[in-house]
Amino acid sequence: MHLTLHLTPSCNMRCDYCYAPPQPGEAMSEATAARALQLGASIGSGSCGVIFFGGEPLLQRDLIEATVSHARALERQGKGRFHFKATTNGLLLDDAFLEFAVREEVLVAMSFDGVREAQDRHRKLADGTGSYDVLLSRLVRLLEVRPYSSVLLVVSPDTAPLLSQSVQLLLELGCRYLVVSLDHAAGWSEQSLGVLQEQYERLAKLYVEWTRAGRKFYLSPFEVKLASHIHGSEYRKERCELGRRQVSVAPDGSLYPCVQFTRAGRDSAWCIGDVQRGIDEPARAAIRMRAEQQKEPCRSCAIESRCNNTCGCLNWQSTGNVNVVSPVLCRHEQMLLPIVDKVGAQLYQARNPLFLHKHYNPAFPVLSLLDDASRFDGG
Amino acid sequence: MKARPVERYETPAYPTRVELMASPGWLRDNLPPSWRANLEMAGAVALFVTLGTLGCEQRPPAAPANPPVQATQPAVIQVASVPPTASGTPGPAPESRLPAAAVVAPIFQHGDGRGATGCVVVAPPVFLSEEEALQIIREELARVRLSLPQSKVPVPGVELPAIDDEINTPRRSAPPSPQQLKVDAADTVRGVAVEFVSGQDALAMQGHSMSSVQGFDTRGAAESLAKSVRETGRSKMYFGVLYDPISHVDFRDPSTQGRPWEEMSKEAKDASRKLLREQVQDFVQWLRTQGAL
Repeated sequence: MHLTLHLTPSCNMRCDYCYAPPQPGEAMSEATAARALQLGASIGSGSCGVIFFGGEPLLQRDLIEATVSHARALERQGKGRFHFKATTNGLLLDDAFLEFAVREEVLVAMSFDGVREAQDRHRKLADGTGSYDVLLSRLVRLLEVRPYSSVLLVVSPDTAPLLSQSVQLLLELGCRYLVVSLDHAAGWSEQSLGVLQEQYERLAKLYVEWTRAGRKFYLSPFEVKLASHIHGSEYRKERCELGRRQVSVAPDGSLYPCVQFTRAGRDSAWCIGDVQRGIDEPARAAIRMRAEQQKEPCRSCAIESRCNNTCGCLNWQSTGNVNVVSPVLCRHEQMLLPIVDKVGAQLYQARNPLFLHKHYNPAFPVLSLLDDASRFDGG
Repeated sequence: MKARPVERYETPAYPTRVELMASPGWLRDNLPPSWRANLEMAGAVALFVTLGTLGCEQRPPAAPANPPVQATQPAVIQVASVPPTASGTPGPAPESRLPAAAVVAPIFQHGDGRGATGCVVVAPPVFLSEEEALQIIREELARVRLSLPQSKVPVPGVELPAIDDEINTPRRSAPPSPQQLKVDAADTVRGVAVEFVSGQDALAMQGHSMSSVQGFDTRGAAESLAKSVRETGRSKMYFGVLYDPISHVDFRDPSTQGRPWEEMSKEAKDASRKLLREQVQDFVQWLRTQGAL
């Protein structure tokens, strides 16, 4: 089970594509966070991933530290096992927090859209100016201290022409784990999707080059789409399923099936309980059933099993209905799969060892860490 | 912009994990250079691969309790060979294991492969997509370490009827444009090929209806196709034609009342998956009797 704790509705940036723009309202209390931990530990095996989210979670740094401290105390009492991640815009990321993150094994994911033009286009500071200059040094420092941190890049129609440059920049900066997501709420047209397709094709060439050069990296959505074929029927279990493995906790303690629904509020049909009463299972099941209904245009689609159409959160964001797939997603998946499959075929036919182990060896993450550690020890 | 389904999508030219792990030597023999230089790493890989293989090992399927009925006899024809290409299989089979001619398996009958859609239909069919079917076929074949990494392999000599898209009937006046059969999955080195006949394939082969009800007969289409390969195919392969069993949601059954379509169609699809697996298991048994495995 993963719990996403929305520590505060406030944010110190003004990114214009944000699906949860800053709102007035109170931050989560320590008591609510503690109750959420108990809830997470009481479900399933007791292993609970906690994601600190916002608004901007580092505005509530004390609460993060208190929550981690409380979780460690629960662990010592044998009441659950916890792992942590904070998703931040990076503005408050300083050495003190990084030291805490290393000590307490808190993973950090930072949003950064790439080259200056892309980053400054949408990721704006509170005064409306671009954030590239301020945040680049924070990102570099994060990657020095925590090299496996993930970087979250959002691509919009007007930044699509910059995508391959942005990815290259981030990999040159030392980023190894890069998650590229579309701003699905933006006004994508056939023309802008065509630009995106060209960029994916460029990235495909780079993916092959980097893999041949023995560089280890994770580049979503390429990795996800490769997995959608390589993992076969197992991939169905890996796809996003609304409310099944992840629950969002709003600052007031109410629960939702995914991050976007917290803005709907406690009185909405999307609320599936609260940290005091626990999860309202019938409500959660009803939402999940709605999301899992086969989507009409997908019924006969040959790539349905590899598509991201099961993401009810994304469907809701783009069409207002968890069970209605947006035409942009549909077009995107149809565009992306052949490009990715070409990459897979090229690297497989070349018997590229890194490709084979990265995608076919279930122990690759562990072996890769061992490899990195031995390189570090050796030099 | 509208969401539109993809009618066909070619199976990627790289294997699934299940297929590749049928030959774990692949991973041991293809170590990244930095791992090769590091004895501890190489040892760790060997350990993980061995454990992984043990964990993944699957027994070959048992022989079906009920042998398929009405199986037609395989036919043998003289053919030209297809040149081998890169393959995910452990290595080329000895030339002597390849058939001297095309050997076509009988149609293994699990599921009647019939259905109809339209305004008066009370038991609508639920179809397997090409991709879902190929996934099942590859999973079952991987159990006997048979990987079919190639797709769209042409079968010289076998042509499918052309359909006139404008009037949705088989073309009659103009001479049909021949469409060479390209099989869905093959290993040209080991000489095994499989074609799956989906509902869409059956329509393409048998033609669309001009009425408000459209009938499907995937098993009939599979039998016709197998017959064509026997009679005119020129591929040096063990050839299997499998078909969509087509299960149904029968609204005449009172127990369907009030139940969501999604739930019932999923059950029907699961039933089809099971029947298709049984077809593949029979095909595997048949390959054994042919000495192809």
